[in-house]
Amino acid sequence: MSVVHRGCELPESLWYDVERDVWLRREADGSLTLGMTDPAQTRSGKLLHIQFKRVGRHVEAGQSLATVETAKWAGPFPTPVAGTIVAVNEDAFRADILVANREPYGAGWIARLSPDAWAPESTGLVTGPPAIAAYTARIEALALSCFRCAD
Amino acid sequence: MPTRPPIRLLDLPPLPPLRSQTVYHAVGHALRPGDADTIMLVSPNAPYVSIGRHQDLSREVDLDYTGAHGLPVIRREIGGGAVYLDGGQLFCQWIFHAAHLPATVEERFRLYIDALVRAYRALGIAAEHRPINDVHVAGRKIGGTGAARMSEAEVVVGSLMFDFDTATMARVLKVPSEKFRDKIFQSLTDYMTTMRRELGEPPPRERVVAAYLDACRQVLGREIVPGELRPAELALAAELDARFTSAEWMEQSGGLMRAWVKIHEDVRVGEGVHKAPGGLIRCVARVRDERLDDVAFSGDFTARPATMTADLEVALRGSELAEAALLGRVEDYYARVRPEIPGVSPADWVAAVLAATAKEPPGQAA
Repeated sequence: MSVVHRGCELPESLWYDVERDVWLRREADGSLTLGMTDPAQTRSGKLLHIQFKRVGRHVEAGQSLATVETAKWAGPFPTPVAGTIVAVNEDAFRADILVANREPYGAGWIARLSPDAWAPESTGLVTGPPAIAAYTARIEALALSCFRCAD
Repeated sequence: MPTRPPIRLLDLPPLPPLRSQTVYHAVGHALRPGDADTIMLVSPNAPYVSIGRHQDLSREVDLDYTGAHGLPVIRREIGGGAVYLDGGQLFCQWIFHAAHLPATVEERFRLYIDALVRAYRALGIAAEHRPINDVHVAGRKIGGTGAARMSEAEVVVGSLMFDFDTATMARVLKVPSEKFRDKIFQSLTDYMTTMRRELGEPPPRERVVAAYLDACRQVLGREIVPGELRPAELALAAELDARFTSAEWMEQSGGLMRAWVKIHEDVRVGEGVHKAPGGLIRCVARVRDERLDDVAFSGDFTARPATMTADLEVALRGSELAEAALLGRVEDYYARVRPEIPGVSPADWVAAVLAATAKEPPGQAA
């Protein structure tokens, strides 16, 4: 189930790094799927280009899994969790560069990681009602209203 | 807005091109909690070419020309296109904690450009914000802006344009034809401006800086205090000097391709080719406000009257970019003049125009 606050969709089932505007989902095989949140795609705007780190590369928490260029901004897509990149969603972005703007929590995922460890609370990740509370507070503090930057 | 600590001003002397880029990247990447936000003012002490974060160097820049003229080419972490820069521009970089700037890129530009507009107006230039991130004077762009995340810092950059060398700007780009280059030069001349052009002579640097800092104080509501680069920032700038000149950084295949050169928010120039049964049609087109502002045809076809391409260029100027509107104008010309041009139908001219004015390269449709 998703909560929508000021137009920002926030699925309750996901884990979030609220400060970095990143969502994570733990898959059955223990890997993590990561993507931009709805606030993230709103804040940065329509994607023009994304350059992925290569599969097999190990990244530390805080390092980028990809660099993103939108119409007016460039920056990293950071991982809150250290691990090894096992997949990147390059094909989906090649087919539709706006896929993360249209479907940030679905087809627009960015990378999949085999984490060195999975201790989400100790790395500051939140899920469920506490995540929604933290994210809605942040959205209020930023006075942010979300819209899908894909039109 | 809560009271925030003063902003550090780094009003730097002209620096070598590489350092003029790495110094603000260093301040961005070195920003730690508790550090002051920074406004940096810097010009290069020699000309160079700056390319965007994800551009392909060899695809965008005429490396034979830059090599022959000793022009360095430097990739920045900011996005956007290739641009020729020199001492005629004063770069104004805001290197701030993310929390000290508005949440969205669009709002950040509104604030940043408000300061540029106020500064220009204080200098007697009727500048205005053309959203999202242009500053215009009577339809002409005065300077460029951009933004990026650098570690914990959000960085917004732009320039105060004392002067701009449009001829060299058009020369350093890698272009498909000299006709295209001419159109770029003409478009830069038509749609860009500078303080020199607006005022006859640009004001002294001190006056421009004073106007800009006053404007920054007004829009940010904060004190701005002169400061110095910290040793950690200088050390990081030296590291970035090495990184930014490495083959790995410069030659990375960025893959960001545009089918056109953007002159400003409303104006772009593109080239397209269409193979008609009667020959190849090459079209260079300038689009303004999504209408065909100017167009030029060439190719290996044979036409009578000899003025046919020039006549068509006049007939198409000002047209909407919709296929039906373009076709109507070309068909009207064919009906009036009955040209002899075997194997080239009205639809072929339209196909060439549409290829030149497409917003995305083939295979990159949004």
